[in-house]
Order: sequence, then structure tokens, then C-alpha cells
Amino acid sequence: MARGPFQRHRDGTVGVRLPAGLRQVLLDQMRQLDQLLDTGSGQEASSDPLAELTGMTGVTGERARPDDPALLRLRPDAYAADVDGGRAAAEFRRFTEADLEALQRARVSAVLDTLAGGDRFDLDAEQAQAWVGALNDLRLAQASRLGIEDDDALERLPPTPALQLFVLLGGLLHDLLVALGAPDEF
Amino acid sequence: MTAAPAHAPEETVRPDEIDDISRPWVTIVWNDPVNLMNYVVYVLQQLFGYSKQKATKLMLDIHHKGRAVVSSGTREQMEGDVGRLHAAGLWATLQQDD
Repeated sequence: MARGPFQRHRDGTVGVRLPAGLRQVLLDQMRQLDQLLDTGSGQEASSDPLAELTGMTGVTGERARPDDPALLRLRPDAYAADVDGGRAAAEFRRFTEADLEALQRARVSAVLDTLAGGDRFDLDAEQAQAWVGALNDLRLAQASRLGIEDDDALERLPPTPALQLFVLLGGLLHDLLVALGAPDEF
Repeated sequence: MTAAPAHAPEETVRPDEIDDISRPWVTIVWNDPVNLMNYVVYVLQQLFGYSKQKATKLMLDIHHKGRAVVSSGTREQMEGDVGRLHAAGLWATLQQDD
């Protein structure tokens, strides 16, 4: 059996050997993901009455529901739209979204740091978790852009380079998860 | 004599519509076509400490039935669970149990 890109060492760290060319692709993709994640920072709801009254933003910490479907998938509503007329979801967003954004961006930042070291490097437990989270966020954002909305979409959509990359990164995440002890198949 | 009303007057409040604080809140994970099956199992094990068997059963329920209840408790607890699931990229909501 061929060695995959991830090997778990006895001390719990995960050794990474990226195939040729993948490092640059990941650098580019992660930088794009960071730009997407950043569009939410400091975004204020236009309906914030205190902000309108005072002309100041950030007064109440109100956060607008993302317009971009990719960003909305990464920061979804916690309540159905009919719960309390949508106020429950808005309140949840107001109190949690800044932390979620910080976490998502920190994971991307950690991945970019490890990629700075070349094609071969080791991930400690925390870095491995950052890789898992950022790779999954990247796939969610890509799927939104590609229009993958049901389980049959992969067979139906034309095999563009973007779709092939999405599939490739799915394989990469799968291999990393298996190296971390997740099941290989069902 | 007056004719009987065509319809019995509607009850303004039915007992099952009263917000019952004894009804628990639940966290629901919804199916999506992106998250890998082994990733969903991995996340459910990591976040909730579920066995591989239980996490696998929940993942298959999500996949085949479109959704599954993954935890229950107070509203505050479920908000915490939903937040952690969102951080892991799973599509989750909370609601009061029907």
C-alpha cells in the first residue's frame, strides 16, 4: 500500500509529505478562503437602530446575516427562520459570530504558517485540528461556489478543474482524518 | 330556539401550544452533500464523546433521513452544542422538542 500524504507518528504528531505542486495550490486556496472569511468582520446590520441614530457602527455588536451563500454556509443560522420571527437566529449571531470568525481565521492562519515550511513538515495536535477545520471550511466554500447542493451533484456537474480540486481536497481531508484515527470506510 | 353554531368555538389556546419549559431543547444536524462521512463521525465523537458505533449510527441517520437529533438539554446547552458544531462546519440548528 502506497504511503499517503499523512503519517501519524508515535508521539501523536502527523508527518505531512505533500505531492508536488499541492503546496502552492493550498497556499492560494487558503489565502482565498481567508479573504472570504474576512468579508464578515465588522459587518454591521443596516437595520441597527442605535447605529442609525448615532451614526456609529459597532455600538451594539449587531452582525448582519451573510449575503454570500458560501459565507452563510460557514456561519449558518442557529434557529429556523420562524423561531421568534427570526430574532432568535439574529441574537445567536450577535453573541457568537465574532468568535466563530476569529476561530475560522485562526485555523487558516495556522495552515498558512505550516505551509511556509515547504512540502514536508510535522503537525502537532493543535495544528492538525487547524488543518482539519480549514480544509473542511475550504470544501464547504468551494461546494457553494460550484453549486453542489445534493448528493448526486458530483456525477452531474462537468469535470472542471475547480471540481477536480474539490474532489482532490476531499481525498486529502479524508486521509488526514484517517491518520488522526477516524474511520476509513463504512 | 337558535340554531346550533356551525362550528364549535375554537379554543384560543391549546395546551400543546403553551411553551412548556419541561420540554427539552434538541440539537439537530442536517444532511449536506459536502461533509465527508468519516468527518461527521469524527466530529460527533470529538464534540460529544460518543462511541464510534453511536456516532456512526447518527451519521447514517443524518445521511439517509436528512437530519438527526444529536443532543438534548437546556436551551443554553443546545446553543453551546450548535456553536461547536458550526465551528466544525456541520449544519446544525436547535429547537424545542416536538
